[in-house]
Amino acid sequence: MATTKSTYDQVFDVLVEVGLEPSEITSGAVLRGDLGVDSAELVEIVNQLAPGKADGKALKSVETVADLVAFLENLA
Amino acid sequence: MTGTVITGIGLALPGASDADQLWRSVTEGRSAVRPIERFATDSYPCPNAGFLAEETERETIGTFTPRVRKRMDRFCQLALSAARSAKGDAGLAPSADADRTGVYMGNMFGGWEITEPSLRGLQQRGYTAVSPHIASAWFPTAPQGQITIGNGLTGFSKTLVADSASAALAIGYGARAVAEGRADVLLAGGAEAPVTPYTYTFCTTSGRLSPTGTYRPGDDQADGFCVGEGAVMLVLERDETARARGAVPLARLAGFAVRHVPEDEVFGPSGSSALAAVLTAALDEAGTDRVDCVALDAQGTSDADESELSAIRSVLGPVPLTTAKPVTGNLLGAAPAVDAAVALLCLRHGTIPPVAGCRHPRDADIVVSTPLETPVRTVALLARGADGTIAASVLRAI
Repeated sequence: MATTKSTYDQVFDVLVEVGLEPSEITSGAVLRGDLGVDSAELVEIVNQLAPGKADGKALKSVETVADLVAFLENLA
Repeated sequence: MTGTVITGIGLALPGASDADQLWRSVTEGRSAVRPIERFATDSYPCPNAGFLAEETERETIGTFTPRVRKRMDRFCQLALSAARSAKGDAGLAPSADADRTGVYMGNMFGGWEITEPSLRGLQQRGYTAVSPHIASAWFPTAPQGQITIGNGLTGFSKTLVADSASAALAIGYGARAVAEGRADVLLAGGAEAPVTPYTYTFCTTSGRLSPTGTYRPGDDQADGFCVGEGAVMLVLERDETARARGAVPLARLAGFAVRHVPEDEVFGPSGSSALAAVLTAALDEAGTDRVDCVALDAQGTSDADESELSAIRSVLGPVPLTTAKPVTGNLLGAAPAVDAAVALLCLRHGTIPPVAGCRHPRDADIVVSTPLETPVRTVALLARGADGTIAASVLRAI
C-alpha cells in the first residue's frame, strides 16, 4: 500500500533539492540563520510545495523548518 | 595623481580563467570569439561572440555551488569569480578590514539569464513560473551587492553605468575614492553577460555589431564588433596601505579624466576633440606628455576608429597602439577593465600584444601580427560609451 509523505518529509526533500545539507535540516533549524535560506529562496521552496501560495506577508512569520511545515499544513 | 596603486588582478573571460592565460591569448592573437551556441542566431546578423568555454567556466563560475549560482545572474557569477581571484592575487586576507573595503563595479546591461525564462514562464504558466531570484538578480548593481555580501564587505561602494566606458569610470573613480580616504581597499572593475537572446537583441539593434561576424578594430575593413561576456576585477589601495601589509604593487593609476559629449557626437569629429582633451587631462594629472603604449577604445568602425586615432595622433604623435578586445569580444561595460588587466601585463612583461584580427591597419602605429618587445613604463587607456562618456586613464609602472 502506498504511503503518503508527511509534510515534514516533503519539506525535507525540497530543502535537499535546493541544495541544503541534509544533516543540517532539523525541525528547529532557523531557515535564515542556520540554513542560509533568504526570502527569495523561501518563496522558491514554497512555490515547489504549494504553487501560488507563497504570500510574502504570510511568510514573514516563517522562521524555522517547523514554522514552514505548520504554514503548509495550514494551507491544506 | 592619486597615490592609488593596483595590487591584484582577477578575471573570468572567454579563453582565460587567470592573467597568465589571458596574456598567452593576447600575445598569440588567439581570439575566443566564435559562433554562439546558446540560442539560435539565425535572425541575428552577427552570429559570433566571446563566451566562456566549458573548461574556463569549470575553473571560474563552475566552482560555485548550484545553490549559489541559482541566486544570481551570470554577470554576477562572473564578477564574484573575478573578485575572488583578484583578492587572492593581491594577497588580501579574508579578515581584511570589512568596513574599509568596498566595491566599484562597471556594467552596462544588467543580467537577463534568469529573467528571460521567467518572462516566458509568466506568459505560458502564470506568475508562479517567475523566479523569486529575479528580485536581486537582474539590475546593474547586483554584482556590487553579491561581492560585498559574499565577502562580508561593508565599505564605500558604487556601480557605474556608462555604456562601454562603465568600467573605466569604476576604476578611475574608485582610484579617486581610495585616494580621498573613502576606503582603504576597493575591488574595482566590470562585468557583463550579453550573450542571451534578450540582451543580444539590444546589442544587435544598437547597430554596433559586425554584420560579417568579425572584430578587427583599426583595420581598413572594420565593420563593428562582436560582444563578449566576462568580468575583470582589480584591487585598488593606497601605496602606503599596500606596502604596510607587504603587498607588491603592480602599477600606479597615475591619471584619470572623464568628460561627456552628446551621444551622437562621441564617435565623430567633435568626439575626437573631446577625446584629445580628456587624454591630455589624464596625461597632465600623470605629469607626463609621453606614454609607451595606448590601449584603444576600439569600437571597430571606420568613423569611430578614425575619430580615436586622430585624437591620439594630435596629442601623442607616433605611439604603439593595441587592444585586447578582439581576443575576448567587446565586453561592453566591462571592456575597459579587460584593457586595464592587459595593460598591467604589458608593464609586467615589457611587451605590447598585437591587435587580433587587424590585417590592414589604417595607422602604422597599430601593433599587428606579432608582439612588440619594448620597454613599457606607461600606458594610456581610452574608453568611450555610446551614451557620450569619454574617459582616459594612465597606468605607470612602479
